[in-house]
Amino acid sequence: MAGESEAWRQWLRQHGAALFLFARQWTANRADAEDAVQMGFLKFWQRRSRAADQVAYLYSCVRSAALDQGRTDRRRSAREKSTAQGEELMFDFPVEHGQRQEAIEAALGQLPADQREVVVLKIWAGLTFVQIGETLAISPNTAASRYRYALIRLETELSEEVAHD
Amino acid sequence: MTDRLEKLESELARMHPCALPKKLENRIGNSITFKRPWSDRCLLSAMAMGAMAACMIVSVLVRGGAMHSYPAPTMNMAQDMPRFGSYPQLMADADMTAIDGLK
Repeated sequence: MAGESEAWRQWLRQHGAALFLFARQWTANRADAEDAVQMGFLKFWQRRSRAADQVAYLYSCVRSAALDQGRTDRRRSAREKSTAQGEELMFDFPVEHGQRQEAIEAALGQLPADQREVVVLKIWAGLTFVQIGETLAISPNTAASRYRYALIRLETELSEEVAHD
Repeated sequence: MTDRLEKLESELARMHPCALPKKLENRIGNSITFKRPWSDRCLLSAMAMGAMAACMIVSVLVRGGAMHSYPAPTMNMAQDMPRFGSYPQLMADADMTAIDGLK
């Protein structure tokens, strides 16, 4: 039983921050993202033995919980504006890089949702394109091309910003 | 272009998403390790057994009813009762020799 208790803690320690960031892409605020992570993780924990790739399954469970939460949010007004560009920042910034990283976060918020989720899964969750494909029910090639489009778009956005400054 | 993308990629990787709130971790832990008290478990198992027994009784009754299906009673009175005009009709249809024999 102690092993079991350590196991879930280990999963959360390893993926918690990325899961929270991932859920935040679909929900209107932190509280909803927390609920989505909780629901998704519990579902994953109960059914994980059936999954071929447990990491991909974990993210897929949290995604579906976050989407459900997002559907509820949609009834509230101004949801689209607050999703992923919410009132609070999603990253911890070291003071010296604060401004640049804030700009990156803002640019991330401007990405289309399907590209943004691939970036989150690739960079911060550390998933492979095969795992991303499994999580999002798309082919690994589609995942890879969305990732590349997202990077190009981010780069363009950020360089334009630098030019403006 | 590829260099710039790689640079951006490593810049993104250096950003750290906010940690999972501690209270959320505790909530998840409580949900995973939650166990019902004994009284609740007994009550739930008694309710489940009751429901199963009810299902078995219903299924036995339904099956029993299906196995002993008797034909529905029919009323032949309408056919047996003589009507006006029946007697002359019968007489007309009957074999006259048999009737003569009766006489």
